[in-house]
Amino acid sequence: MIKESFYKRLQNQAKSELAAKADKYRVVVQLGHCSTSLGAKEVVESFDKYLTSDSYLVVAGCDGACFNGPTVSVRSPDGSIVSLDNMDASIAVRIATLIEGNVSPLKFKDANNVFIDGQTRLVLQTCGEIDAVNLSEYIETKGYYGLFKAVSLSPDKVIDRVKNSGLRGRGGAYFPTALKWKGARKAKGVNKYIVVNSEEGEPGVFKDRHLMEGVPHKIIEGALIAAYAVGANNIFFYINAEANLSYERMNLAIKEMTSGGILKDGIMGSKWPVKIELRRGAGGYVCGEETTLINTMEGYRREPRLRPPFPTESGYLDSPTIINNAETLANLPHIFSSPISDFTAIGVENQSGTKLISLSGAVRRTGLAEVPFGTTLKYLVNHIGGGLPESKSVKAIGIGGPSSGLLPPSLIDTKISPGALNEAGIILGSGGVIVLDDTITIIDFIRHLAAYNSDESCGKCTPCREGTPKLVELIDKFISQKATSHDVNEIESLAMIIKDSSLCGLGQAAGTPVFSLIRFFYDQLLIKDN
Amino acid sequence: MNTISSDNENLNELKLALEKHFPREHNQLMPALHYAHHQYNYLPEPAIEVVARHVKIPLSEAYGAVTSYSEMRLVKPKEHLIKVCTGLSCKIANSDDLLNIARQFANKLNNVDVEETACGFLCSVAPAVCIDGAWAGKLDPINFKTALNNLTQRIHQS
Repeated sequence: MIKESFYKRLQNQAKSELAAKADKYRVVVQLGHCSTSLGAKEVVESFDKYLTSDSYLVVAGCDGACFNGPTVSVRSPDGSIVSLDNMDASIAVRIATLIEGNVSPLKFKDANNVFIDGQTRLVLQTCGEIDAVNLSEYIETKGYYGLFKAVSLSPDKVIDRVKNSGLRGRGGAYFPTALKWKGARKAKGVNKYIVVNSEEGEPGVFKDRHLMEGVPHKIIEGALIAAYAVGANNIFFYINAEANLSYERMNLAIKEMTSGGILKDGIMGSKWPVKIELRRGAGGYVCGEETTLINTMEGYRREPRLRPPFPTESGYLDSPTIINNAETLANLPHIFSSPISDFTAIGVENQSGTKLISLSGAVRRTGLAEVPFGTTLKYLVNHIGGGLPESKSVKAIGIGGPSSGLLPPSLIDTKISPGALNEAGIILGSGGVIVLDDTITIIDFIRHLAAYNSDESCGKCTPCREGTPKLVELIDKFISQKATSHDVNEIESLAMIIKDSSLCGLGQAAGTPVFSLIRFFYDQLLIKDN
Repeated sequence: MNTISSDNENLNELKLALEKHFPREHNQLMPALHYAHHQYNYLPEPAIEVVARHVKIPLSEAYGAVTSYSEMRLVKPKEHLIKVCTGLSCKIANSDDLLNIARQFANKLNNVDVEETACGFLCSVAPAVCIDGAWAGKLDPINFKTALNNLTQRIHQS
């Protein structure tokens, strides 16, 4: 039995560290991959230069409202908070001067928060508000309490609770998390591994980056719960090759967590030891596929493996391996620290919780949004995304990245849910949504998706290797207006063959853009004999 | 194939570093390759050979692995690199214009490479371009040209 005093001690540590700052101005700058590209680093440097001892600087991740970054918020000693959007480095002097003059509350026009207020934020809660890596700030917001609760239960009870929560994998397959864990727990093996999949190589999706940059401790906490439940002594964080800031923050957060005593006497005092290692990807969409990921980790070509055996029985180094997406794991702290009904009440039947949606394209507000399952695309596009500028209208909505397809505006009431969204087989995937306006030519867009799938085919399965370039050739025939109705049959049957005979998810979904083209946008195809 | 300048010394350094940081196991291939890639900014063949020996696999197998990963470079890159994202969101935000500007810019110089990238994961601030490792979002031809002028200045200064 884990003593209450273990968590109390952590809380006291955090409290005493933060108490020294309580009567100061708290300046939070959101610094993530997206806001860095808009000058947030310069904002941080400027505050570093101008802030005096009356205030302290917090570097947070981005809250997801990328469209109006860089964002700065200031909390005065009296508790009032102002949020400022679209900032540049010049704001630092202005704020430093106001603080020096002891002006409180600071008078600024507060930011428009429709983008954030329209969401249901479980995973993203505190993202962009707290110091990304600092352990005390995380613990102060109930961090690692879920882990503490989890290790107070037996591993089987932990799995039961995850089962009752209805949590499913957020990487795209939506497989029940508890079922996966149970398989690995039962599997025989001296070494068991947890691999946190943050490869995220899918164009149009940037959710794991936001989590790693903004709330890395949530992912770590989730991974530790998984390790305890499954009986794994090793955790790998597998991070995309290009996500340098994510890597840096995960690395620092792990160090903070370790030196802060979370792993003292095993995970949270449970006597269950765990070793943590970070690994980098090396490029390629298919690397996020779980058996390919194992190949990469073992030092082989980026190619998928045959299943079965499933990684839960025989994965990394032939040992039972759980591969969970970072977003899936980031749900666990909440599931364990709050009553389970808080989680199951969100979403729809059999699909509890929320989904992170990477929203981009023609909408007014773009960024990362968290919505309950069952939310309509209409709400996402028009309310959270703010709709399109007045002169434009929606021509199509691209869902699930290059492995999926386009929905016509007539289906904007479609609900966001795991698996197939409709009979054309358009899948939610890991939650990329791109809104296309009426300036887009649909077939050019489909060609872009098909060309990407062809480039990314690893070459292992012949239908995918040879078929995906052929799909592009056929699409070109439509573009150059040389296609006949025979080519419609040809392209559809080829897409079907690739779907049916490829080994991994990439190949199986490579034809989806073509299916959506034929089902929803047939009237826009120029066919010679029509 | 490119070779490493002043080969032996560099390769010895790599050998020693690998021995220090990486166990001699197959599963250390990618971490060791990453390390070597970081040292040279690409993977010269002799370096792949050193890595392969270190993790005790044939060079052919290491080479096979290297060539399957898009982030591993086999050719020495030029001094400066402009990556233009031509992913879905950037494309509809007219990244093709930026690509043309970048190509025209690089044509006049001999030490600048231009690459297309399938996604810079800055879809929400499209279009995005990466100049020498620093990404910039919400670009238009005008502020992109300003960024390129800054690059020209840096090139002249060095």
